[in-house]
Amino acid sequence: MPAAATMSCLVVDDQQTIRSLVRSGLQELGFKAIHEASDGEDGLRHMLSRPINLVISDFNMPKLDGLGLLRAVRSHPPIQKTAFIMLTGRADKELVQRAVQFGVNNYLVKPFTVATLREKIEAVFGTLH
Amino acid sequence: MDPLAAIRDTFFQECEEQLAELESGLLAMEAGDTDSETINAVFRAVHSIKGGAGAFSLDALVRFAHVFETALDEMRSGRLAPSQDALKVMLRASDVLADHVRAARDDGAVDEAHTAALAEELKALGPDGGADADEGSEDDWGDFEFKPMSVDAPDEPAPMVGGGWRVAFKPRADLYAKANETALLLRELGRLGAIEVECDASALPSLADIDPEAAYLAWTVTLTSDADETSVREVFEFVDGDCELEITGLQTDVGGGAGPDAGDAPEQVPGGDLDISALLARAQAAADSRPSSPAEAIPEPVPAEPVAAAPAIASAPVATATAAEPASPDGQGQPRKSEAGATIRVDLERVDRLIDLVGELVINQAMLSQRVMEAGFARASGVAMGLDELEQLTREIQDSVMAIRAQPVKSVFQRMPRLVREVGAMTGKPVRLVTEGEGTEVDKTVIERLADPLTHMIRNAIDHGLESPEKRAAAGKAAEGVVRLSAAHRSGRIVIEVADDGGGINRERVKSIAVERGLIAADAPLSDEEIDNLIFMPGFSTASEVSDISGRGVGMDVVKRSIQALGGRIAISSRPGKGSTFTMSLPLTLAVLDGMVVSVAGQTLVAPITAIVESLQPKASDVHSLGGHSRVIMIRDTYIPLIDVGMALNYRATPMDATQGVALLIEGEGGARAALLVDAIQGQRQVVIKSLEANYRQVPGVAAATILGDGRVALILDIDTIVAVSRGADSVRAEKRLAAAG
Repeated sequence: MPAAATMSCLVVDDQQTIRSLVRSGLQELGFKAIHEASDGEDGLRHMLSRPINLVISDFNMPKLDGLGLLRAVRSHPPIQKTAFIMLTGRADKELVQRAVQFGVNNYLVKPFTVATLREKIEAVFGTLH
Repeated sequence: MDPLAAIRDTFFQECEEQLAELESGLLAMEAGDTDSETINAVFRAVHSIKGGAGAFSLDALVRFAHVFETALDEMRSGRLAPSQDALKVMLRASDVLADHVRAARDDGAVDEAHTAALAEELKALGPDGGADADEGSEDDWGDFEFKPMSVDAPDEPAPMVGGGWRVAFKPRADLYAKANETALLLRELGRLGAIEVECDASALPSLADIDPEAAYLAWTVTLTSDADETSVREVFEFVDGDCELEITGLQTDVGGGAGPDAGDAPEQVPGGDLDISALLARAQAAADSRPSSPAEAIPEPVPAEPVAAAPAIASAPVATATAAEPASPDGQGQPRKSEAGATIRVDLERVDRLIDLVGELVINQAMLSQRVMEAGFARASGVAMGLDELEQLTREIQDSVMAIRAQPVKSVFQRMPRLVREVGAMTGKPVRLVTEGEGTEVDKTVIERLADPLTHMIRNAIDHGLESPEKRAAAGKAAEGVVRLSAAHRSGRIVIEVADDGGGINRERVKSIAVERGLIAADAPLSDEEIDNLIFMPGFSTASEVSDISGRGVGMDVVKRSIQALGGRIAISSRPGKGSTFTMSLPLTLAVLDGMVVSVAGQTLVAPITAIVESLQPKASDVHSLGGHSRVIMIRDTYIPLIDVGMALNYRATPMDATQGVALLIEGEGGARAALLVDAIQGQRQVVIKSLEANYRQVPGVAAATILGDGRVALILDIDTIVAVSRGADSVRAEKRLAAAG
């Protein structure tokens, strides 16, 4: 896994609570550059205005949901190769399956522990070329 | 604070927002809103509460939210029709959810049986009619085949943005007008490293055309330094907005600045009804115009941006900030909505201290004005005119300070929809609440003390005001009753109305009850208005059986008392068959009082106007002695105790001649009437209330004090105590007489 401190993360969720929880988990893992966006469109704007290495995004959000954001990311070459982890509630197996079709790199089920967060991030960045 | 505890606080704050959104969404749907975004927002609110609650292991909350969410999901997916009945269940479920949230926050308890009953109702809404929706478990998901893909990740720390900065700086005239100095800014910049300064004087006009207060010069500074952009920007912190400022990293050639092209080969992902190109174009446009948002314009403190790895975007740390606000200190990139209404939390004590001081200022200013007038300055003299301006300013300061304590009535209004639902369900009357003027502001204390009377009045409006659905149908009205709650500012006061479209006051019944309870004589000639006002009399209740809704031993007399205690008045108007309207008029603040200034035995006193019903000059024939010093006065065929204020406060030992004074007819606690005898009325004025207890000690019969324009202290009468004490004294004397006689 690359040094967490060198990576730039974007947390996309319409709930400040969840954003703060993910942020605090990421900080514990040594991430320094953590950005927040409150919906998919806001997230996309962030991604177009600065380099982001990892997106952790909720699914159910106003304006543009997590799947929409994922599809937009995957279809736009400059940001296409950004790692994408989808946050889901329980019982959302179908959703994860759809996200997999659209090229999600992993998923994280709420509520999560810092250990799970680490596990999922490592799973993604372990596949680095 | 423990970070997790802070997030928990955030969670409960967000819950309140989501609960409000949930309720307003459901209400909108009930009113016929079929927009899919509305049901989505409603679903999301419950979903978010559940998601956050899970993180804090609030199991009971999660369980109920899950059942609720499942039902909402049915509705969202169209399997459950948004019928009025289903929405009613959901509105009550939202109340239970709110109870759960508050119980979780305050470690309180919830009504388990009620929760279970609602959960069953919600489940029954589903197509399976009560099948338990199981939480999916991650364990049986199996493995997903995540598509292998290469991910851009920095293998090593990105190179530092070193070398330095180019700072283009063009002051506006405002910068100089605020006593800033370019030379000092440049010197400050020089502390960060070596600087090369170029001055662009091309805009300088000829000497004849020069405006001495305009700004013509611009500077370009090349700074060689390891300092980060934040440090460079800090130099200009105080001239933000008063200059054009562009700070550019010196290594600007990396990446070539080729912006991403929105229309550039979007590989269409299958199954797309999403117009991604348009979306990207929109997001791109927003991103391009973004650097005006401060948090975004400033790079992260950690210069780890892999500039080379993401070639097309963010080619160089270019930050244009022409009118940038100061960067948010935590750099967390909070959502913009929280930036919209910037607020600070201030100890209420500090605000009250300020209000006190402003009160002093008002008094002081009034005294000064009076002295100046006495000293014989002409109206047009500099001193008098300066004083006028001072008076204007003082008044504005007073208004502004009072506004700090003001809050929108929304905080109390928003508790009412739930009450209406509950009372409607209990009485079996379909009812809709309409609120207006929720943004109307009034003093915080007034709002807090409004909750109880309003609750009671709304209960009354539904329980007693509205007819049963059958009666309404017979009268040709819609089955659903309407209760209207509104607030508005009117001539320096707040007017709150509670209106129902029910049957209006049944005057025959009210009158017969009042006679039955001995409140009025059977043949008393009363106007309609007087009959309506009987309901404010203590001991009056029209409910033939005490229902558990309005019958709590609390009548309209208590409502009236609480409103009067706030310096307010309440009135009722009723039209048979059309409904009743209660109108309350309250002061915007409790720091000032509308007072009647009176003289008593050479003293100046203030009586709260809200307590005074009328004033009259007693005729000798109307005043009757009861022996000793007790007297009564006959006002329209009713004997009312006449209390000599001078005697009550021990200003004089023998009663004054009633015909030489003025009687103020007042209504005291419990609706008891009395007439206060004073020497004369001086006038009516707003006075600033000063606590007597804080400065001296409590004095029976005196509520507080105020300072008049001439600097003298005037006591504000505590009418209830004066009436009570006089009565007590009378009964003591009566007992003594009885004892002496026996």
